[in-house]
Amino acid sequence: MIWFPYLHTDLMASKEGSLHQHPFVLKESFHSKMVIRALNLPALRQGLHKGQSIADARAVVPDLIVKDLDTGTGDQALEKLGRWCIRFSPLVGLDPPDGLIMEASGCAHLWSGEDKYLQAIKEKLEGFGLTTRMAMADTIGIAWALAHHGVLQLHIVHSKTPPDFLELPVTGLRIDEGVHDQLQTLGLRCIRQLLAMPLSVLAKRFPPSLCQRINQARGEQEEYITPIEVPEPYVVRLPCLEPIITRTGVNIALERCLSDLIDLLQKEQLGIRKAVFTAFASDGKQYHAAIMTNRPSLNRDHLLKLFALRLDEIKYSAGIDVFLMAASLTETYQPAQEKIWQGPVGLQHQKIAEWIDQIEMRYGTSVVSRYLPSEHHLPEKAFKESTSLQEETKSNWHASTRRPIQLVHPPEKIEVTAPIPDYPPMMFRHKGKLHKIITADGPERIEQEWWVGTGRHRDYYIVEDEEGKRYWLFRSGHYDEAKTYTWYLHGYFF
Amino acid sequence: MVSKTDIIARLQREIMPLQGYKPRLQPAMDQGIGMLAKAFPGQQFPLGAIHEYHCRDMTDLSVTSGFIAGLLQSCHLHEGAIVWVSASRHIYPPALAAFGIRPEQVIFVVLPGEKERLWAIEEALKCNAIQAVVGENRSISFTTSRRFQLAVEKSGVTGFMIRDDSPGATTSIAKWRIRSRPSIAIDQLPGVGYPSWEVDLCKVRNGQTGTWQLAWAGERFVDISVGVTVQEAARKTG
Repeated sequence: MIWFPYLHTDLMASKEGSLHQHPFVLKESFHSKMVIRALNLPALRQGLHKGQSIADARAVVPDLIVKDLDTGTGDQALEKLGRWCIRFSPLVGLDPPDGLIMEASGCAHLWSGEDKYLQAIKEKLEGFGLTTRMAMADTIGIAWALAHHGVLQLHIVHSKTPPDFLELPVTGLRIDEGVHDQLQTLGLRCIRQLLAMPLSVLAKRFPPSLCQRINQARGEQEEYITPIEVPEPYVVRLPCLEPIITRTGVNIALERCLSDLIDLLQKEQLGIRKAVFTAFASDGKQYHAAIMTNRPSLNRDHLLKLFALRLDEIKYSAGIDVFLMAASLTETYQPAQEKIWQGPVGLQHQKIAEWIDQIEMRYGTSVVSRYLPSEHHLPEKAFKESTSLQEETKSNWHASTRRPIQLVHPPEKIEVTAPIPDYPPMMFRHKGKLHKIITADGPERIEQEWWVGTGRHRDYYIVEDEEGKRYWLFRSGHYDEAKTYTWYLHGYFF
Repeated sequence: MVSKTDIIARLQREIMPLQGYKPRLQPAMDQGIGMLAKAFPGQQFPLGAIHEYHCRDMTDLSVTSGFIAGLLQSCHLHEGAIVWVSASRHIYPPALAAFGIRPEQVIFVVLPGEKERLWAIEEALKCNAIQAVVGENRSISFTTSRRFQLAVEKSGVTGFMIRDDSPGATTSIAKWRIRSRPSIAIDQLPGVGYPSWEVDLCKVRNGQTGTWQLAWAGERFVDISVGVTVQEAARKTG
């Protein structure tokens, strides 16, 4: 739990340096009077408090600086901070209006200890001019209470009911004002008193939210963090002691992250289909290098090659604090597979997939294609692009129908002389050259597929000219007096 | 007694690997290209090498593509992965089925840029999981051809380069010109019959150049220059 007790005023002060030492409050109109919504430490020391009217505050502190509160900037800043904190933990949630909740399990050891972990976060945040109070505990409830009401600036506790927590006022349980007032009247001031009472008694007198909060603090009821960004299931992170400012440093980080990620995935028998290498720069910016593969891969050299093509996207001039590599798409990977396919035959070979990866990473996925038959009569629709190397054909190719090896797309208009209607043409003119037809086959009528589109039917002829060149021509439409039909050249035969 | 010709033949066999061509273990070839194979050293159609095809226009390109498709089948290269690198999408995949090639076994790469295309071809030639690479490029410089040659020497991939008809030295094992000629009637029926080509092997390293008239008789090449009709030739093997 990170709490920014002076989030709004700190933000304002970081914009206007002179406000740092001066008592200063942010006001908002409430029931037709101006009240304090946020105040800084000097103002607090002068005895001011939240909810006080501005007029009263001015009476106490004559030289008080008052500004308008803009909750929008605070929320934006909090979310930005939350995203920034992803470098410390994959699971970061917002606790509006001024807190962040982070899942720290499995993160602290990367900074060699919980103490150093919290210190590192604290120092960075203070660098932004923010006052922080932090607590690390077994449940969100305890951490929240300790951060907001604890004595120390940093709390790390490891017990279900830590003594520090028990002595805190009941407000530490995140209860609303009504409940709080009710508890006060009953003389229940600190958490210890409250926890000593049986829950059934409390449940009768108080709204269910109180029992829920108690259970959550005790860890008897699960409480979830709503993450700002849903973390990838397979992530490795590499914090750097000193910011990385060289290409060599980035390369080393990449190699280490990749090796760790491969180790992680190997245990799960998964291979990488998509992966993202993220660099968190000291100036708060993030840079991403993403790769994808055609087959699940754990081949370190191959993946490094792919990343190398994208590494220019990582700008390291400002210094990189933390590197992170996530496998955003994984698939079952069987190492034995590679051995079985070691033979020269087949598209399923890992090496072919790697060759395609390299081309696609450089020039985009659209340049590589593989085709499967498609049940359409129109020649230009008789095949479709396959989405993956593994996809099998569901229908057959029609090897017996004669088709040209090159299809002219779109078909080119030609002038044709035909002796009798529906007979093959005698000659045709294409691009100014006259071709005399010696033999011809046809017509082969191909109708438009009325359920797909409209248009006229086509009568196809295979023709051979005096040079022995073979063409595929078609007439679109019927022969008629008005000559509404058109001839086209649609392909070249082998 | 060892004759002079035997000694020369043996020496030639020894020199060949030094020149970069290692005959690889080949499956039995279809008889259809037997006459072509005779032109090459060792009477073997060279796989794991670069063949060059010179084209002038679209029709040349079509017949050359057809001839290469026929070769892929005759050399049993069509059982593995085939890569076809070109500048535009012009090959009509279903037509390859006429040559016994399963079009889904062919990976088409379309790259308009020449530099990119040559890079993709070279990378494909280096990948020994690929059986054959058909690459289209306007011209091939000597340096490029040498790079390709080194790649196939290592990987054993067979390369078919389709290029324009400009002169220029390359390290390719053979240079071909495929031109269309009138089709061969099927059973004396009228109409367009079996596609037929004038095959000109105009340059071959350590071999004999030659010209043939071949037809594609449904599933194999047939030599029609020797005066046999297609039907007879087909019957002989059938």
